Amino acid sequence: MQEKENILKILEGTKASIQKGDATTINNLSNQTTNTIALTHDSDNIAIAVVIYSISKLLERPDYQKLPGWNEFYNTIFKGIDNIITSIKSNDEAKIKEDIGCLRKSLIKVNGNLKKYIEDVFRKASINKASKLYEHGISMEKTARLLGITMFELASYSGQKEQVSETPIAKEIDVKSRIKLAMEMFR
Amino acid sequence: MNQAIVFDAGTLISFSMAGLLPELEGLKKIFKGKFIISQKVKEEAIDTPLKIKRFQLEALKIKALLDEGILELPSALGLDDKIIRTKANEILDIANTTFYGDEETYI
Repeated sequence: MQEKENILKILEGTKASIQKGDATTINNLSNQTTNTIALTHDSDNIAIAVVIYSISKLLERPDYQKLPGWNEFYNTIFKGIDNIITSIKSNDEAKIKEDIGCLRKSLIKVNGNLKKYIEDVFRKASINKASKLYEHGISMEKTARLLGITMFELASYSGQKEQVSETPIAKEIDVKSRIKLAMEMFR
Repeated sequence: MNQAIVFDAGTLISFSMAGLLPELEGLKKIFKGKFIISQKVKEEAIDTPLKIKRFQLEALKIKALLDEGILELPSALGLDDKIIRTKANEILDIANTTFYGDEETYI
């Protein structure tokens, strides 16, 4: 896993914010992994980003917290995050990977309607994180592959968001010059 | 010599979602060559989305371009798909090793 210290800080922050029920801070924490992912394409960082973002989205919905299975889910998150923190502190690479995998799997083991909602949130979280990564200039194909989504899902989500075309990197060449450059290829 | 433009799946998907695929027909008329997609791009832009209800329409629009001969597979140039893939990987390798950042560089 790349940037363990950063991930450790993020996970500890997430744990504290879960206790306070502060979904906004958790959401912000999940964004802090995007730079590392863009540079290293590290799968553990990707998994952590998706899990943390999903947790923030689930905590934002008080109606989910009334569904049967919520307490079990809440305890699973806590235990899972704790396990990963312990593994990072002991610098055990294999255990870190195993714990991240366990947390992801156990989150969707919840029964009833909550399971359906959590799976949906996870899928959308992957698309959201892919979009953030795509904003950083990683190709659509590579991003979709890293996050396990289709290029159509990514294009559809990114197309709705203004941010991708509004990032400074996308503004280096103005639209007229881009079209002129493209047209030269066809003549 | 035959000219060709090789299309990436991302380009076709973006064009399809923005309703701009008919522009490719116009561009084909002024371009003296072929528009090529690899087998892998066909899978990403046509075959896979055809199995997902939400994206079937966009995939069908791209498929129509392939059926009409606007887009063609490498065999239209008498090339094996493998050659296109090898060349694409060569170019990717060059692109991905052209610039290096400092350790402290952040995007």
